[in-house]
This record gives sequence, C-alpha cells and structure tokens, in this order.
Amino acid sequence: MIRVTRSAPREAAWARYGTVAGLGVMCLVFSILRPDNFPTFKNAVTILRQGSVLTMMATGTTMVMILGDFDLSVCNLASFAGMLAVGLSARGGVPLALSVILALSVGAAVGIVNGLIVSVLSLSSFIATLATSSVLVGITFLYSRGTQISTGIPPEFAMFGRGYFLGVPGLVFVMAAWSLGLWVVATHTEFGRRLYAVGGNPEAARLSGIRIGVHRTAAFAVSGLGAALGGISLASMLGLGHPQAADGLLLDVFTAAFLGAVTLREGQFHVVGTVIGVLIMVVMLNGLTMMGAEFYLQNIIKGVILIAAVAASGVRAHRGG
Amino acid sequence: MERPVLEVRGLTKHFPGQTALDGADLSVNRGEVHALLGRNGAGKSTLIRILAGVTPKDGGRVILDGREVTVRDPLHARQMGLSFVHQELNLFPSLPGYENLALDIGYSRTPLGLIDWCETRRRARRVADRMDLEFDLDVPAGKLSIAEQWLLAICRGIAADARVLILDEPTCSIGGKEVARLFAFIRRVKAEGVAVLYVSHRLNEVMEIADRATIIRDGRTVGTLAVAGSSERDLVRAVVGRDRCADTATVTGESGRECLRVCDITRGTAVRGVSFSLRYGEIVGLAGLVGSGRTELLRLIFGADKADRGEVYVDGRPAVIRSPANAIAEGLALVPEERRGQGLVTRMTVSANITLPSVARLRRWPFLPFMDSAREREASERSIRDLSIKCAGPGQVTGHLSGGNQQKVVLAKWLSADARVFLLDEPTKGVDVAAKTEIHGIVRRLASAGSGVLLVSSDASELVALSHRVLVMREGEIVAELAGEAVTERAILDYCCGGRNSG
Repeated sequence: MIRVTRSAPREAAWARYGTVAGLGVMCLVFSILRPDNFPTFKNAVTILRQGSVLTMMATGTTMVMILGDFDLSVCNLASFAGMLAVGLSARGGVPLALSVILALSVGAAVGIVNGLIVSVLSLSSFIATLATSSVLVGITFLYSRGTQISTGIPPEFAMFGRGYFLGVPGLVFVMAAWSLGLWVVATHTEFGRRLYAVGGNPEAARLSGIRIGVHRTAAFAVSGLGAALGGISLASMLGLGHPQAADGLLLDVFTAAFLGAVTLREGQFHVVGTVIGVLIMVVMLNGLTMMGAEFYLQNIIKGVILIAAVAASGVRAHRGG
Repeated sequence: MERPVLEVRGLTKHFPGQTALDGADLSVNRGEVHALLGRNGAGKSTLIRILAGVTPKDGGRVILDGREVTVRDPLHARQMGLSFVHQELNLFPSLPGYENLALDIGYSRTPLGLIDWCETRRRARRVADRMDLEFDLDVPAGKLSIAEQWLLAICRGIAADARVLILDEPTCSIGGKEVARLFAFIRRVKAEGVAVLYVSHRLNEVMEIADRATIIRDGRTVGTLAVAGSSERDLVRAVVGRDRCADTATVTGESGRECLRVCDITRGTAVRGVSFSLRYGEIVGLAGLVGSGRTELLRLIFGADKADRGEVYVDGRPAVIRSPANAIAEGLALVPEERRGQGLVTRMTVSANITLPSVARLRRWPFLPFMDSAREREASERSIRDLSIKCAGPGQVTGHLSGGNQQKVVLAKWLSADARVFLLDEPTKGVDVAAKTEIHGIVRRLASAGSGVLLVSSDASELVALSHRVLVMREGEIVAELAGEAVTERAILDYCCGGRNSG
C-alpha cells in the first residue's frame, strides 16, 4: 500500500523526547527567572500536590484512551463523587470510610455503565460519555440542590487532603500508588496487553479471542474509579463538597493524556506519558502564576498545547502500521 | 527501435538501515505489457512509490518520453501521464460508477455553472463504451464485483489520458473467469498504445499477459526477459535467484479421527446449508470464486459472524461457538484473508502478536494475570526460529515486515496457542514465491503433526499441491467434492465457474 509517510528518525526523536526536554527547559527558565521561589523543595511539593488530582483522573482515563475510546464524563463524575463522599458523611450520617468507599464504587459503576453503553449499543464513546456527563451534572445538582456542603464534614476528611506524611502531602502517596498500579496493569498484565491490542486493531484482537466488550467495560470502570478518586481527593483538599468542583479539569485531563501520547512512545497513550503530561501542565501553571501571568493567558496556552499535542500524536496514529 | 515511453536508470533509494533500491533499471515501451517481478522486499514497491511521487529517490534517473523528470507528488505523476491502480483501487464505493469516472474526466456543467448530471452520465458512458465496460454505471462502485471494480479503476486511469498504466497485483483477489475478463481489458488498453507496467506474483498470469518482464532482486535489476521465449521455470529462477520451484506433489497424509463437522450452516444468502467434515491430519481445500462464500463460511465456523442456523461439532462433540473466544477454546484457529486488517495488530511487536491468543499461558504466577516477559521472549523466539520469520527480533514492529513474514507471524500466533483445527483463508495471497513455498511447508507440517486444515485458496495449483480433498463452493453452497485423482486444476476451475454440472 502506498501511504504518505513522514521521514521517521528525526521527527520521532523530537516527539519522543521533546516533551521531556520541554519540561526540563521550563523548569530551568522558571528557576532562572524566579530563583527564590521556583526551585525549592516547598514548591516541588506544591507542584506534586497540585498535580495529584489531575494525575489520578488522567491516568485512569488513559486506560480508555489506550483502547481507542474517550471518556468525556470523568470531570463531571469527579464532581459527583466528591459531592457524594462529602454529602454521605456530612448529612447522611454514614461513617467517613464507608462514604468514601461508596463514592468510589459509584465512580466505577458509572464507568461500567459508560462501557456497557458503548459496547452493547455500539455508540461512539465520544457521544455516549458526552451524554452521561450531562446526566451526571443533573444528578449532582439533584443531590446537592445546587449548593456546596461545607459544614458537618468529619475533620479526618480534610486531613486526608491536607495532611502531610514525611514532609510530603498524603495525597501525593495516594496518587503515586494509583499511578504505579495502573502502570503495572498496562505494561505487565494480560489485561493491559489486550487493551493495547484492541486499541491497535479491534478486529484482529477479536479474532484472537479477546472479548472486546469485557475489556472496554473494564477500562471504563478504571476510568470511572480514577475520576471518583480524583474528585474525592479534590473535595478533601478543598475541605468541602462543591457540585462543580472538578468540572473545569476536562481540558487539562485530555491535554495531559495527549502530551503523554507524544512522549517516549510513538503515538500511543501510556501511563508514564500521562504523568509527564500532567507535570508539564502543572509546572507551567505554577511558573506562570509566579510570574504574575493573568489567568486568561493560561487558558490560551493550554488550548494551544492541546492542539499541538494532538496534532503531533495524530501524525503517528495514522502512520502505516 | 522505438524510444521507450518510460525509462528508469540506476535508481537508488536508501532507508535507515536498509537499501531498498541499488541501481534499478527499467524500460517500458508504448503498447506493451511489461511485468515487474521480484520477491517481497526486492524493491518493486519502492520503485513504484518513486514513480508515483510518494517517495523521493536518492539517485538515478526517471525518463519519460525522452525527458528526464523528477516526480514531485502523486498529482504531478498523473499530470505527466503516469496512472496507478493499487490494490486498494481508490474508488469511492458509495458513488455510482459514472461519478467515479467523472472525478477524472470532469463533470459537465450547465450554463449556470452547476453540474449537468445527464451530460456527465453520457460522457462517462462514452468512455466506458470505448473500453467495452458492459456493467451498469449507475450502480455504486462498492456494489460491483472486485473484477469490475478493477476495470472501473483502470478505466479511470485511461480516461485521464494515461501514457503508462501501473497495475499493482490486479489479480490478487479475483479468480478464474474474471481474470480472463481483466486480461481482455488490459489487451484493449495496450492496443490503444498505452504502456502497462504489471506487478504480480502469479507467474502463470505473467506468462499469459506480459510481453516482457523485468526482474528485480535485492534492489537491483537482474535482467529483462522476453516472455515469449521463456518458461515459467526461467522466471522463477530469475526471481528467486536459484532453481526453487514449488513442488507440486500431492501430499499423501494419513487421515485420522474427525476433528470438525459442520452441519447445514447458513447465513443469509452468503452461506447456504453447508455441511462437511474434516479429519485430523487432513488438508481440505476450499475452492471458489471471490464472493462464493468461502471467507464467510470460515468466519461462521470461527464464530466471527453469527450463523442463522447450523451446528458445528469439534472432536465429535457439539460445540457452542458464539464468538472467536469460544472457537479458540475449542482449539480452532483462523488465519484471515486480510492479514493487516484482521490478522495482526501492526503497531505491536512480533512477540506481542505471536502471544496474543496465548498470553494467559505465559503467567509469572499461575493464579495472577501478570506476564512473564522472559517466557514471552522465549516463546516468540522459538516461533521465529521454527517458522524462519525474518525480522530484527521479537521486539520489531510487525507493520514493517514483508507480507510473507507477516503471514508467518499470524500462523505462529496459532501454533503457540496449540490450535488443532486451522482455518486458513488465502494464506499465500500477496506473498512472494519463496515465502509461498515456506508457507506450503508449514501447512504440510501442520497436517503431518496431526492438525486438521481447511484451506481457502483462489490459486488452483496451490489447492492441488496441498489438499487431500477439495470442496468447491459456488454462490454459498458446496457444489462439488473432489478427492484423489479427481483433484486437478482443470476440474477445480470448471466447478468454480459453474462449467460442469454438479451432481
């Protein structure tokens, strides 16, 4: 077959290490411009803490993206899960641990519903999760009556989000454990291998005996679980339940994942890449804020990065393979 | 002597780590059918890519009508009269035939500048008539038979005033009678003074249609032969570099117990009430034209599509096969016709593809789903050795392998999954002569090791060479069963085309 292929080596190197190099350059520039504030242990901890919620959500939904689908409902689901954990413990009288577990379960369950809609009804994941995200917005408002919950929350809840362990925020440990777990699943288990196979060629995967529906549903469940984990963490960081707490993160989640797809591996989503993608986003925001940049500048830059990352990864996705 | 319309001299092309072309020459005259032969990876496709303006050349000259040219891009190639018909045909399947033609000859306009559909249709019909295309141009191109699609695609090339028509494996997916139709058409094109460059692996067809043949080996032109003065054996020898004709002795295998029985399996009109049985150690050929239901039958047995009715027995027991996963659990394996589209995940490595159906057996600990990469490497290296897959190693991405080696990876996948019943759909389609011989060897080994093989092929000589029995399908039904002495190319082709009355 004749296909227009771009000359590989130089561009591949640019793409594989370009994002990592970009991260390094950014750190260097900010360190030079703000030597007193940026390159400090305190700021490093802040960056990790700021990136925790985003990492949980983005690495979770990376599993869906490996499979070739999208989950647009992660952020609304995160808001809902955070609201639910706070609401159950503050108003429902449910013990804190149980309400967190319930909220996580609801996240996974919503993911399973997403996966079933996509598999059983053969809808595009884009449309299906766009629809469920709207439903989730409605349910969140129904549950919270549109107001935030800031009273009656057990103090331990905020401890989780704000507490420190060995000088590092507890959230960072949760984020690291979650990401490490997903990395192991994606790279060292049969499940991960099959996700990549389905993402690479669904028909060949099916004819190799892979049950696509099961794997897709499981991937969406992981995405939902990650969203719930992120949403609960965010609520505990904020110390309150807000019905739209995580709604604005969707662009960041996708930008991080696409940045990841052009990092280290050609045009493939992977967990390590997504983590690096999150770091790029958070370091950039952190540095720009220190420089006193206006918030709208951040929006513009984020949008441009997303386009650049998708374009760069897209070149590779359509490569003759 | 007449000046050649297309000349290529000393063409070179290097890719990182490999030399694709190393001084290739070619000279094609007006009104001749010129075959371009060579094994996969010999450099044929690179040569064509350069002519098409898809890949830039490193060195050498391309001379068109005495003028040296550099083909900048595909559009430029067309403007200079180089017309390509690739295996994918590049038709618009949802558009009717006349509109596919109009895209090349242009739409007619009304005085207002809008499209004049009546006139557009008439103009397309005139072009089609000139070339004796007798099928309905109002039918969407996707609904035409594969051969008719080729005729239409070639017609598009001619309509755009091609001086050189380059056909890449035109008979790859069509059989018997349709090939004759295509050849008649090519002869007509040739009579119009167009030069035809014909790329094919099927040497008997080259013998029939081509005037001369240029053979490329390892990126270099090893010679140009006048076909009339050569035998098929000469061509094989030139292509492979040594005398290595595929042996055509029929296998005499010993047949054992029944491994697969299919009863009255039906799906729509594609497969209608097919019943047959297959024994361990037996190779049963399945002949038929494209569209006769062979591929569909294999997919039904394998659970890739849902049957309307019918039963499948594996090893004498009724098998419930609702999905490929069920079929694999029963020990079935399907090697699909579309190797890249259905057989491989081309972005994944050789080893990941080989272990895809058997990955659960390569666990580090029996009850946990973690893979053992050492065992995986070991298993795939064994397959690579056993089937002599040519690749840089288990970590190479399969998309970059040649067709024959990709096919071996697909076979390796099922060998390492310990399948016992192999459903092979055109296993040697589009692979070179040497790889074909190797794949034939693998198929024979499968049978002699006790597996049952159901072999679909459009190449009658392949069926004769390999099969103990041959079933012939026509319009979704099995119309004949040939065994022993009755298995001849002639008989297979006759039944395929409906030439003999089936009992």
